[in-house]
Amino acid sequence: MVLETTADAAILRVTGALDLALAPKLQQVVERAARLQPALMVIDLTGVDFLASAGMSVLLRAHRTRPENTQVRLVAESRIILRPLQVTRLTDELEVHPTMSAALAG
Amino acid sequence: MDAVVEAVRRAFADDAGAPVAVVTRSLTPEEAVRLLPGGPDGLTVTVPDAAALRDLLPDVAVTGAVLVADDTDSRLLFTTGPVGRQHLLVAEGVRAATEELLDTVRRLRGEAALIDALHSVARRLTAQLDIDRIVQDATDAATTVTGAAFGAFFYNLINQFGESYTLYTISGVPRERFSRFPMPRNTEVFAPTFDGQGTVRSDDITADPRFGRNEPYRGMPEGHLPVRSYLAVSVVSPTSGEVLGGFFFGHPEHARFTRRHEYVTEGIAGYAAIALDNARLFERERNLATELSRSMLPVVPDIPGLELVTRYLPAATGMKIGGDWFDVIQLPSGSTAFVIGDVVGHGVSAATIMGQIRTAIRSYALLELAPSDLLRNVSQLAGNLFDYRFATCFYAVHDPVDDTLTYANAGHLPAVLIHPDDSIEQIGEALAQPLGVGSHFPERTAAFPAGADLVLYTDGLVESRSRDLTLGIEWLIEALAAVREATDTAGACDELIEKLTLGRHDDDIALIHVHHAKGGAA
Repeated sequence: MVLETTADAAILRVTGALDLALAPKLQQVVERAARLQPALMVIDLTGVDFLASAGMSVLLRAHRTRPENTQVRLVAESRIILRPLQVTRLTDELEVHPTMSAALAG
Repeated sequence: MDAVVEAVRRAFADDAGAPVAVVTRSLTPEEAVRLLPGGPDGLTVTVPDAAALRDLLPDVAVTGAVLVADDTDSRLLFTTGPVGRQHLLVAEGVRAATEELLDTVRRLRGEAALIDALHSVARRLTAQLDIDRIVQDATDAATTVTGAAFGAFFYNLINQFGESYTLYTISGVPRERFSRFPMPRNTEVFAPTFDGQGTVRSDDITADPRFGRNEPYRGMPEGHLPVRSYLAVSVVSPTSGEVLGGFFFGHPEHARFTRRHEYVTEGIAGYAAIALDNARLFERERNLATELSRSMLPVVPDIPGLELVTRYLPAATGMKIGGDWFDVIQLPSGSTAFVIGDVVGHGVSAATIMGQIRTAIRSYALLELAPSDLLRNVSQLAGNLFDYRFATCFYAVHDPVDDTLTYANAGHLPAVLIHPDDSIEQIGEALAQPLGVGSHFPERTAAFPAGADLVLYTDGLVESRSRDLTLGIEWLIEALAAVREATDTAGACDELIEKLTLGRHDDDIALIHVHHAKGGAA
């Protein structure tokens, strides 16, 4: 789990299984990133090989509790990540981009 | 090093005080060991043994020699001239001057090694929850640091019937050496340890007035390893004050255990107590969660015309339990509701939330709310129950009058509907968001005539770290064709679970299989 910050974006890179064990750590990093009140918070899930419901609930929470002027975007391309998000229709509110550059460009 | 070598070199002189020629030779580590078998102790200045010296330099008539060595370097200074005693006095002087310092260094090194040992034992012990490993690790560590010939740890556990029993680990000797002896009883020697009265340390336990007063052995049973030095330390729970067990160390020689050994062992016993406490608390929490989720399993009613197989399997590993549930509810109108769901997370909190959601669904179901309204109401309730955690739920009602299935799905995996002609359809995928997240839950209707099957399941069946959800669902659908052909549907469902999870599901699993029998009530 890595948090990088640029002038107006906070980028969180998650790797491994985003399950019950990793979800609380992502939650902590999301909170750290939110305190910076970036214009854009990008959660990069490209390196995630398993997305459990505990992980999805952290993503939802990151979106719903974001600071007023912050946008939250996800980067994911693989079916492993997209299918669970589609099945739960979290894609209705979570903004998912296939690549980091697409996410940064909006 | 160089300064000492130079000083020693100048000390070589004849009886009149005139310097004699000195050869300085750097030794290889192998040569150094021959002259100083114990190795250097800090910066060591010593007169090498004459025989060893002759061995090393067979062709040289050495009349005087001094070895200067430290951990990295060894140099031999020797002469063949008419040397006096001055170099011997200097060597002795250096030794005398540094001895006290070396003693201090040795003592501090000993302390540091002890602290290191304690620290690493503490980290290892308190980082695990497996009782067997904790006790073996602690016994091995304590046996090593005390230099005991053998060590044992006897500990008490409570079985499921509330009865206490004692197990033990052995270190230093094979377990077989002890296996034919009975468990130590609360005799006068052992009592202070098992009663938690404090450490017992004896230079010679056979001379202790408490020793050998009990039948039948009057001392150690025959064949017992000989013990004279004896050290025993109680392991006392820091939370309950209860004695969890005791460490026992023995050595056949007299006075092998010191005050320091006692101190270190008490330290290890303290950490072992914390680790055992943690393990017991963890065990208790896990059993509580298992018990909770088991007690919430519904009694599945007999419903005319429907053949039902339901399964709930707690996670096979770890504390991962309690999120999944299923329910089969007979409605006042004669319809039947099927419910399957999954609360995010595991453990007691997930199990209790699941219990509340299940009850809410039951209540609304008995009011005959339509699936869409039912899930909307439950979602509203659930939003207040948990903070961005959510639950997924598939809710389907079978109406036997027109043989339809009306369903809504709050973010749960699609259900599988097998039509009478064996064609397989997935229904309800991505109809709505989970409970606690969504507010609109559209419903759909499908025909559910005699000869059709409905299968509801949770993600533990089709998804894991090593299995992509999409593939998992494909495998499930393939496997369901075989279940449909089987005469024993329940057995076939068990086989299906075993096959799909390879017997190693690390998530819990719930499954409902409904077969609408031909010629049923409808």
